[in-house]
Amino acid sequence: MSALPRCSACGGWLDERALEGLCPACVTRTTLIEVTAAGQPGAPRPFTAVQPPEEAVSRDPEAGKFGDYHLEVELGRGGMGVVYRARQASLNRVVALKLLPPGPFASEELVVRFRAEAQAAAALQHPHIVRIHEVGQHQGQHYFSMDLIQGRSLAEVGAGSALAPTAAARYVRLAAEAIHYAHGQGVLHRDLKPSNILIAADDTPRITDFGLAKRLSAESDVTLSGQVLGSPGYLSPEQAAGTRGMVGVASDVYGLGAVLYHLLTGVPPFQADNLSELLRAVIEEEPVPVRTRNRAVPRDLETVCLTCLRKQPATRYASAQALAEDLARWEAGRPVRARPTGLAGRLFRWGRRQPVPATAVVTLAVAALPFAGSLGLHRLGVWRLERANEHVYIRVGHDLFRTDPLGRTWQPLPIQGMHVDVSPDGRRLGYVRLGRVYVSRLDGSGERQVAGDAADVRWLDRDTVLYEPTDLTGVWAVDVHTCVRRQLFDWKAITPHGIHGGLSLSPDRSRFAANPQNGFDVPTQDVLVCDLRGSSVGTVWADTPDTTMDACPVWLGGERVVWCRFARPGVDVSETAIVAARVGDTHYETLTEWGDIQYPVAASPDGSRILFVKTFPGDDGHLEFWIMDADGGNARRFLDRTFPRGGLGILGACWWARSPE
Amino acid sequence: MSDTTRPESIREAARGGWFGPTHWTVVLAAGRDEGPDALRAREELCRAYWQPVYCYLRRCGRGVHDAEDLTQGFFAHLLEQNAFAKADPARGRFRSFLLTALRHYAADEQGRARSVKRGHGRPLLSLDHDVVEERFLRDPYPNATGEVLFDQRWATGVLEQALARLRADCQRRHRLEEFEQLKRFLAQEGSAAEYAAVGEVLHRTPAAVRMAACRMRDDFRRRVRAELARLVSSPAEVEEELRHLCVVLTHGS
Ligand SMILES: [Zn+2]
Repeated sequence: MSALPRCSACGGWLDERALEGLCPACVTRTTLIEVTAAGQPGAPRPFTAVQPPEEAVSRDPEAGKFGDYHLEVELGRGGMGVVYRARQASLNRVVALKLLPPGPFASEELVVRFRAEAQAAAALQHPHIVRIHEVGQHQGQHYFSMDLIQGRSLAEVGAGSALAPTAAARYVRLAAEAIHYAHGQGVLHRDLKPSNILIAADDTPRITDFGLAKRLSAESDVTLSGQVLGSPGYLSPEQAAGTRGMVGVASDVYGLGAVLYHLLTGVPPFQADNLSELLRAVIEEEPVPVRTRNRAVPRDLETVCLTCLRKQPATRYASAQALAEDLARWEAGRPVRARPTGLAGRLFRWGRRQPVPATAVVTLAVAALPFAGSLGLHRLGVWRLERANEHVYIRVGHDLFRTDPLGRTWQPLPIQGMHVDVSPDGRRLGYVRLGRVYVSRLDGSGERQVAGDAADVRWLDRDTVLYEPTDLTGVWAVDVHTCVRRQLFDWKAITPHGIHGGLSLSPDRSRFAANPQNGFDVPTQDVLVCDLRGSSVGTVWADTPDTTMDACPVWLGGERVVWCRFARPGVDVSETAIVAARVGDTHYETLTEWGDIQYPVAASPDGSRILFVKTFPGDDGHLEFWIMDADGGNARRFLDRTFPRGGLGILGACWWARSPE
Repeated sequence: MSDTTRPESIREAARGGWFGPTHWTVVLAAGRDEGPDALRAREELCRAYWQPVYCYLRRCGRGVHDAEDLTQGFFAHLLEQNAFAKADPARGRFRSFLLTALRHYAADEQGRARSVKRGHGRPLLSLDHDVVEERFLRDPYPNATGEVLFDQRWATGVLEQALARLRADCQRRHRLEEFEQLKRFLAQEGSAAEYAAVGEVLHRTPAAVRMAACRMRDDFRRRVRAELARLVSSPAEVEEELRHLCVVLTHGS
């Protein structure tokens, strides 16, 4: 006998496991036959959020037993895990065992990456590098075992007071040689600081935590929380800025210099009351000169130290070996090769005091210093401009956040909205909430509703916003002071199902680009370019008809539009890529690899750069924010965050705007 | 003709894949039997039809294992005979062709019981019989004939596939929450209160929710047609199959 329930609407049998619990007869009547079903509407089914299962970290009930290891004494505890002295039963040896927190390993991909890195670090064999014996996982918890060093770290040795300059130079020289060896093996440390350099019984350093901790924190959402970042006072500017494409050998050279600075002065190069202030200082400020803090430090050693700490990676020592050699020269009483702060540094400081003309400085510097890392300097100049007055607005779910193109700040806005756009004068926000258009000041204060029933909103000029009602009656303009509105045109004349994902105004605001849709949230492959009367003035579309666009096209400079394309032509898998085309062309160029890059795309206010977001299959909450040049070059990740809503599509959209702030 | 208004039929063709280079009729007729396109086309056909075939066989009195074997055997038989290529549009609907072929096959097999031995050869598809068997046992119409059951499983399968593709696309575009909230309106027009309640969740006005539900129904309808287009041998069959699907699903409930 059947145990099926009956449909509350039509009374028919209902197999709740078929058709997602919908009644096939009712769906057929309502949707396919297009006759409204009579009868009592069913009660709305409760919506349940999908939560990723929390994998509990469990250990053997037998106290102190962890797989092959018996945990003896806790040696240290930090954001990246707990270190124990442990005895490995099978080999009967005493090791240091580091247990990693389970949090950052939410996705398989991260685990794979972590393990690859750990394996590389485990292959390092150098007298001044702590040897990693085993990288593994036990009951879901990742760990690695390493040599147990009986001794203190440089953080303890140098706590609060300066070391003798000769001792400091020797420790850092030996560490630099070990780091150079690791670089030769393709392994970066990424997190050099006094607490990661242990002093063994023979009074020589042993470097630990190669790449591991830093890799972990870089991949987790808590990178900027400070707690996990640990000691940002030793972080290189390129790491503090989150421009990971630039993190390299020079970043470790910086780290060695930061350790030397600490040993010579008793304090890290930068200190501040809070994290954002600290990161700002790391990126912008010169460290207090070593001899200002400790007159006993010889001038040449100070020069060596400050050379490591230069902002531009390319102006530091070219390698850790070059640093080791200069330190050896100093120890031998010979002159060092490093020169006191040169042209690049002075230019940088001058640029810092006058942020707006920094472009001129950059141009000059690039011309004047062909051998001094013009790229690095140029990049730094770009960062400065971006930071000065540009913001990135990101909608996640219904919440709005503001960050900057460096990803250093992360500020929730006190408003909720589906779209956000900054007025051309940079003083107000326009956004849509609950289908209504609001304007407010940049901080969300002074909110006023200016229109109802809207799908999106864009500023036309400082007094007018354009919006698109959901009834498909086209595009309307409304004066934000008087709320007087007028219809510009009707979609029916152009595209019967309206547009998908909003419209994007050209830089001169005379035209817009949009993606016509084909039914419920079904984007087409076309980009429509119209003037503000709704007359088509040009079209871009792709040459392959079987794929669609995944987001609103965004206008770049030079008559180009950029968008995220859904499904690679000719390939029957879901892949996306950022593509761009000139208005009027029927071909697009692909700016990124095909993969899981997803919408949204945003263009910088000057149209020279593109922001896009990467997501990861199986890890819906993990987002990476990238910026690249308009031609697809110089891609760099500037921020990554994890949001606690696994299983649901949470990313809304992002916008890049300039403001006078 | 303006660039922006290409004929709807071209868009439809692109979307539904009619006559596209990967449509099964094209793939199999071309005789590239071992190519990846041919394998995928066969797999798609088998996937769409194996549940109706299995339920038909069960209703005709076959046991669970027998029905499993015969299902695999039937599709193997069709492929061996290249029967899909013989499904001439002029000879009627593909579904009817398949049902007729199944009837003959089952009758033939009656005489030489278990000629398709269990474990003999690699199964064509890994089929989740348990789920279908459970559905079969729970079927509320134990007196319906095998033919009726075949049609019902086929029709429900088409809707499920269309809904699954809609869900997958929504997920791709981070619209899963909208999908979850709006899908109930595929089964019935919402009341003002329901649209308002969903609007609260989605941060939209009730009017916008009603509009979105309407667009979702449009889209679902389009996807059902596209699913049917995948399974027939000519575009002309689609409307006919859609009518039949509506009759099958609304009859007797
Ligand atoms: Zn019903």
